[in-house]
Amino acid sequence: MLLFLTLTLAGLADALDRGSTGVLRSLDADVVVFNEEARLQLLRSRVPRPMMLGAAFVDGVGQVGTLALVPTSAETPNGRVRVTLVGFSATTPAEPTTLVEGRLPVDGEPGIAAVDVALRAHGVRLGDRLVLAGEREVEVVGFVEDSTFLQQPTVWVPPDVWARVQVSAFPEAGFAEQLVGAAVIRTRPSADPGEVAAAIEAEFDGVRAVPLQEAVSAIPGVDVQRRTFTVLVAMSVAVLALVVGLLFALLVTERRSRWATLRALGAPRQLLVATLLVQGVVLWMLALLGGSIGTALLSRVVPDAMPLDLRLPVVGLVGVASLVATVVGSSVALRRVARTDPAAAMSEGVR
Amino acid sequence: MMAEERAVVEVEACTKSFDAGAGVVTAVDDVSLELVRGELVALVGPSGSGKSTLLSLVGALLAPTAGTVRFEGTDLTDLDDRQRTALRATRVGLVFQTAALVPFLTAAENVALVGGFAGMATGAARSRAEQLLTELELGARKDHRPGQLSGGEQQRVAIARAMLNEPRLLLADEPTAHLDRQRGSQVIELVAQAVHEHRCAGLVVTHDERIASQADRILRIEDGRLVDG
Ligand SMILES: Nc1ncnc2c1ncn2[C@@H]1O[C@H](COP(=O)(O)OP(=O)(O)OP(=O)(O)O)[C@@H](O)[C@H]1O
Ligand SMILES: [Mg+2]
Repeated sequence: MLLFLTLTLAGLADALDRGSTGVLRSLDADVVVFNEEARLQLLRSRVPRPMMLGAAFVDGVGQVGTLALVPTSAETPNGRVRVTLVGFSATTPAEPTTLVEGRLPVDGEPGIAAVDVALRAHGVRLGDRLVLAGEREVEVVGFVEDSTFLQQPTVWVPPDVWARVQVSAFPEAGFAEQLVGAAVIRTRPSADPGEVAAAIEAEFDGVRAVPLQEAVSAIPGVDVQRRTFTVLVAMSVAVLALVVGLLFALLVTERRSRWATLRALGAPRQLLVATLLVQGVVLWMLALLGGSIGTALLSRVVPDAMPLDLRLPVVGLVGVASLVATVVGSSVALRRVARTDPAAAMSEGVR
Repeated sequence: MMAEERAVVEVEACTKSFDAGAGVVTAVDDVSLELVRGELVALVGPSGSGKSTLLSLVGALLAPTAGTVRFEGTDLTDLDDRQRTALRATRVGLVFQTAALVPFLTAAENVALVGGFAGMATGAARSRAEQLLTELELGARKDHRPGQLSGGEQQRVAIARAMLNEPRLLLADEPTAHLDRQRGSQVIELVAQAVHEHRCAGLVVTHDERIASQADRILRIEDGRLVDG
């Protein structure tokens, strides 16, 4: 029951996290460069094009690409949905690596897009035409997976398409020709992303360069979400330890005379402790199995709006944490069993 | 001509006191006795006279405050907890007031369980358990759980358990306390039979004189001291 709760929380946290960070995680990149005022926000970032070109010459930089995001909406067979339009330069580190069907658009190919598989749920199929805000139409030529941004499906287009949507959505933002979104860099294999980021900041004024992981946690809500769920999951694991502790203490106290009898009959302490531990572990395995099945079933029935997804690594992590909690929780009871006085079998009489 | 057999247990001037908060209670006071193979000794005395305590000293469950207990020549105070546990497992058979069987195991499993404590192979323990249960006329009940057995039958299972590892010493603390006279008498008879047939030393605590009379020898204890008679 408790493990079910823990697993559900962890599954929810994991799904939320992945839903927010998909865009950046789908890239094979090491460093992201923002303009300083953007405060590490992809949606706000506008770096000057010359900087982009110059970055390629900084020590340790392998390849450079541009990535630019703008929120918009798309008309799907199932109605209008909010999407994030991603302008990316093809065959650069800004290209998503998670293509599952069709192909990616190439630069200078207007009216073509690859979209996140999340849009399939809205009836979008390969070859469909999507009408974006501002009556711009794109044809879906590919699907990428696990690349959502802030829970929104993404539409991946060449950078100039992004630039035009950007201009029509935010006319006051000025002319986008000289500005690109964020620069995405793949470092040379031997280079350290942190050092490369520092070198870029030193080379250009007004930019902020950070390793990819840092950019991921800077996505709005991600950091807070992670902390909140970590606390929640940690708390439920702690409660688990407590409950297991109480359960075992009860079990052990209730059976005290039996432990004493077995000790009197010559059962080694280790055998009794091992027996109890095995019981605890079996209980844990059953609970983990039950909890996983429960959460998996729950993730089937919850509405799509609520992201809940149970992945094996999450089960593994919660499993290990709860196993530790089980052992810690039962350790007090185990000590008590180990210390049972065999003479008690005689003097206490046996019930 | 056989050499004089050495006693299984020699108790020499043993005293056991408990610090019971309100003061020191001397449960066993300067007791000496010997137990030899093939002899069943009954220990009788009023409640609180120290019978159980003396039994625990003899069975390596308690360490004496003063004096020595020698088990086949080994001073028990020289043994550590692990060695005493091993000695109990391999050389002492214990029967308690109640059978104290593990409720979710069958009669045969309960008996065979202690074979594992003494390092006996599971299969061997199992077949010896069934053989002992048959000896005790419980062959047909071997797959029953304790809850399905009467008090007397449970106590017979406990005797079989005590005999599994072919102990040198069989100890029983009021094994008949919860049985009616006829069943109690039968249980003591079985204990006596086990001691005689398996040639081990036996000590049985009881406060029933009639049951005590089934033993080969009677020891009386009052206020922790052995008294004559
Ligand atoms: N663990 C202990 N701590 C303190 N006092 C004890 C302990 N065990 C026994 N005693 C005391 O030692 C005395 C003898 O106890 P013991 O159990 O040996 O008596 P007994 O002859 O077996 O009595 P009964 O016939 O009631 O079983 C009693 O006064 C008892 O209160
Ligand atoms: Mg007693």
